[in-house]
Amino acid sequence: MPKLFVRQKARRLWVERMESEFQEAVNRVSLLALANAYQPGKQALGDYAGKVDCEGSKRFTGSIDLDSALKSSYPDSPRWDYGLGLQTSGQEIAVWVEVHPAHTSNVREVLNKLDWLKGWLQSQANALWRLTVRNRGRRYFWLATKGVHIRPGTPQARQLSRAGLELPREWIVFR
Amino acid sequence: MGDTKTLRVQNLGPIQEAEVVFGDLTVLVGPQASGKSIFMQLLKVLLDYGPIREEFKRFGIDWQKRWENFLELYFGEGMSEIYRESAEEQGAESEIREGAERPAGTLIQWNQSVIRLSELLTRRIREQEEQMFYIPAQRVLALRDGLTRPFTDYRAGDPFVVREFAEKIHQLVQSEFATKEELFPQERRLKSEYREILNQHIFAGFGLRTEMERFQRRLVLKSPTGRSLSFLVWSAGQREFVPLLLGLYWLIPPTKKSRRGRVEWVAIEELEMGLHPVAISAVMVLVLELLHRGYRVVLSTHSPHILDVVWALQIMQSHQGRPANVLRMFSLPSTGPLRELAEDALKKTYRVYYFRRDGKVVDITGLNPGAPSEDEAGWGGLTEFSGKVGDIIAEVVRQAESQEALGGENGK
Repeated sequence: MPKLFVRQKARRLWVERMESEFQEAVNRVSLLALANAYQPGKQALGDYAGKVDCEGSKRFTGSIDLDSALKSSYPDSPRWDYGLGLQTSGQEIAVWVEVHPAHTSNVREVLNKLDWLKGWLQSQANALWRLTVRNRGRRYFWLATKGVHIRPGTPQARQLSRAGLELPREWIVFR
Repeated sequence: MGDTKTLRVQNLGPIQEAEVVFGDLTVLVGPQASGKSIFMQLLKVLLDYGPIREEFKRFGIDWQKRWENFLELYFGEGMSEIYRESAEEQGAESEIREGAERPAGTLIQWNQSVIRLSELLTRRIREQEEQMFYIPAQRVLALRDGLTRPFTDYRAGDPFVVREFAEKIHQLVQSEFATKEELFPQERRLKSEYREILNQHIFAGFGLRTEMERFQRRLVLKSPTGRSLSFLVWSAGQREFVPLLLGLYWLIPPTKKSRRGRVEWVAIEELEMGLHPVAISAVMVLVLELLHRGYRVVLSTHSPHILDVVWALQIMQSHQGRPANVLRMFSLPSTGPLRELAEDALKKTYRVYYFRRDGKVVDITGLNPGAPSEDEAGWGGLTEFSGKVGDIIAEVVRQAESQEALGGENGK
């Protein structure tokens, strides 16, 4: 029994040390600014890490604080906040979290950020883009600060749906 | 109204368990036949058991001091089964507190007192004036071909609240307005700003008048060109709204008194019936007027627009919203009386309860669209469908995005 336990533990450590596809995709971005952006698990989310969680067999492989990392390269662009690698049962995918106040007046800002994110992924980070779109489920998330003030059925909620983004939430759980 | 009023109910009709703390405005939502109406009618019995019994007596209705008969007469034919008194013998009060096992019988607790209807309905009558004015969902039945209908025009098995409302409207039109032909617009009824929005969104330039027909006043709409339109050609919204307007006339006296008699509570079922969302907002302004006059209002609704108003007012309260914001929400001009109304609306308390299909009643007052509870986030099912539609559309858009990016690589 102890031998089996040791073997299992060693395998787990080996798996964790292994470079995740998300990390590999981040490393492939040819921008110096992103070189040190990768952090294990959801650490890059800092104070917001507690608001994002996963359940069951899912786990976060790594994360990047895109907004901070790309500040000097894209100072005036509507930069998206965070990217996360998420290991699901079948594959590893990339998901994207924007932390933003959630009033109807903020919808346009977040949609601009989403447009920017998609454009950046497609033009500068193709490996990350492929990890993003291989996931046919939810991939862009709006984490609300100070409550959600947009309700389903409003024109603003419809604008979000039309862009593939769901209503903001105060907690995000990957089930 | 500072004092808190709470009604707890177990096993009454479809309601398994409810604890409702009333605000100045309390809104009840939930699917059909989930017990909202029963709950509101029960509240009226608790407040007005004296005047209700007097009213039965006045019209020669003998319920033989049997609560089963009273319930058939009050809630309507076939409704006595919603209430089961047997649980009292098992110790009602302790069961409410412990809540460990669901009792077989009905339990009613009004504030601190456990109420037994058998005892309440035989209690000596102290109060003869009603405290609650009830505008039922079936209010359109208060008019037949534009003629008002007295209490006795109904069958004994018709719900009391329908008959009583019709009787009030009958008195109003045939007595209070006996010498006036014009019902709307009426110089001394409702503020001119309210008349303006009702005219714009509901009456569309038509006036509400009475014409004499066989010694009775009959309601007609008069077109701007002077042509009379009889009841059956009114729009569905106008047919629904006119009895509600008359109910509001009843509650808002033309004198300096802010309320009628000793009425403190107003119950309005399905305020939105037949109305366009813009017209619903106009009627919600009148609800704020009732609150401003110190009435405590209980609404049942299937309209997310009503919850929109409550949601907005609560957010304004928590974010230092100003009367100007309230007025802008309703597209109202900034006149003195309306600023007062708006200022008052920001001081009132609002509560929202969801009557679920499983018999549980849930407090969803926060109306937070991001709440972890789906009952609250979905506003008691009222925005659930819109949310579902939104999620599906977002999913379709994402799938198309993947398809475009990956081509036939992974797609089906």
